[in-house]
Amino acid sequence: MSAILVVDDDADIREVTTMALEAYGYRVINACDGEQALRIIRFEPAVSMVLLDLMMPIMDGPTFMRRLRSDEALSMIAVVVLSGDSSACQTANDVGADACLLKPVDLSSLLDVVRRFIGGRTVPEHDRAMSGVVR
Amino acid sequence: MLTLGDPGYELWRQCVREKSCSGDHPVISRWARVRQLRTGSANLVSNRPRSDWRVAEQRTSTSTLLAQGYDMLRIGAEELRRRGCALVFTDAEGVLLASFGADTLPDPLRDGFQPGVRWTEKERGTNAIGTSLAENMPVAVIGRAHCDANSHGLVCYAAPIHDVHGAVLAVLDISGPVSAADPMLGITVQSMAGAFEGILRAREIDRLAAEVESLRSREAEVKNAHDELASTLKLNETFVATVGHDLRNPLSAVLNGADLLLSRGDDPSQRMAAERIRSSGRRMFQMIDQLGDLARARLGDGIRLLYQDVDLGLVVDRVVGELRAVHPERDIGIVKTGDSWGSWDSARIEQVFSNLVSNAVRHGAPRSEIQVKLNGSETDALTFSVANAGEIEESTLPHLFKAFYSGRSGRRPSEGLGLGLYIVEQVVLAHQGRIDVVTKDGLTEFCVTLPRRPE
Repeated sequence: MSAILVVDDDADIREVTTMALEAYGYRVINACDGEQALRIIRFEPAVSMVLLDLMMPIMDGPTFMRRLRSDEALSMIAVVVLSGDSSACQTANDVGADACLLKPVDLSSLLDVVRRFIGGRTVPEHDRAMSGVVR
Repeated sequence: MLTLGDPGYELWRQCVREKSCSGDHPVISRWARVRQLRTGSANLVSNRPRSDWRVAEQRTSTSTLLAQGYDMLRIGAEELRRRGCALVFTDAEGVLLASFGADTLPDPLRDGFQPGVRWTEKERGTNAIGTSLAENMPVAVIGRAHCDANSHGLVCYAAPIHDVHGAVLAVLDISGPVSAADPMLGITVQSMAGAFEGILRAREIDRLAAEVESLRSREAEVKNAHDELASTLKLNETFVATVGHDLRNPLSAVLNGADLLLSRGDDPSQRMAAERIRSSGRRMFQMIDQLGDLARARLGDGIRLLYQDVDLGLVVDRVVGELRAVHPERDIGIVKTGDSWGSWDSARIEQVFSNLVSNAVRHGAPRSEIQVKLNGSETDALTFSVANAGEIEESTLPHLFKAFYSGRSGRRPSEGLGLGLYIVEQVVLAHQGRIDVVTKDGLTEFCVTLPRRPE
């Protein structure tokens, strides 16, 4: 079963997002920074989608993205950035994220984007444009 | 130099003593001027020195000048003494402040050369110092050209000293017995007056340099104060933006939790509480967004835009649709004409439209219709307008787009921070557009004009 990896240093965000997604039947794994997220992805092939915060200690979101996108084996994993402001969405686009959701993310927007990307990316090219910003 | 040569005893007698004269000698008109000055007074000639305090006061006004030129006067006077001449320095009222070599003059002549004696035309008739003051030019008066018979044995050369603005500050005079008459003495007195004016100019340059220096230091102080204020302001706004940003995460968790409760919970009271949490949380988010926008607009880099091709017709439909859902009692009409496609930051323009239509719902006359128009008939620009019944108070208009302006002095609007229209204008300006407001005849209309493809 495909799994969603929620990467955020804020424990409340991780827990609430996990609760919400699990309530709708998704399998969810948590990581609190980019480094932990990379370790999980390499050992857990079920992860097809990442919900990513950008500002985190140890390894931030953009660094995680560069590592992820430089690994051919992980190129089909979809990444959706959850961000506090629209300038961060520009950053998300620059580092190759598939979409960017502006916080606060309401449940229906979150479920929409999860439904769209749960199977992973459909086009693996590294340089394709981000599919949109949801406000 | 105006030279009033000796006109001879006969002319002097007729003109000065008997006050009836004719002729074209240049001194005649000067004597006539003196007669006018002295109307009703028989003989004003006086060698009585003015009071000591008056001399002291006059000295104060020109004392620095006198002190600075004193050595020059002393050295010049030594040379003149050898020629039997005296050198005197008066203030601008002809009061003698310093005198050198008067003792070389013949006895009856030297009385008028003691400090404190006043040498105006009114007091002493035509004389080099007084006439030089009256005509503001160097003057030579020889022998009987003097009105005063006591001065008939004198030849006097006087030149005024001007300050840097051209006003007469003092007079320098060389006087000697008529036998010492020499045009060179006229040149000498003018040169010495010129040297005094040089001293004054040098002093003025020093003063101006000091003033420039003081202005520079004041400018530096003002700049420091400005930099300090700017840095404090930046710190404050950065602080607001940072705190606002950091509040988003916990607030997101709160809202997601409320969403989850609403989607899964069945208990009506829990659902009501969750609904309250969600609506309050959203209002908090709106405030945080506005504080972030305020900081961005003021911190120099401005509101950043993400341009993309957008159909603003869809944006208007969405905004109005949402507001109709929240305010089903309000009649909100839409009129769309022309092509509504262009390149804008869709989310930001939605923010502008939503804010303006919400304002119309909130502040427009209750139960009146709200008209939303989108006009894309122009090639280069598109206009969006919102009209509602009711007028904005005239006193409010100049402040409408100011940050934190509530429209009701001393009170904040209960709905937010008073930043809505400020941000609307900033977003419109960032798109190189403009916003106008017309409020008259019981109607208020906000009109936003946006270039279709901002450069």
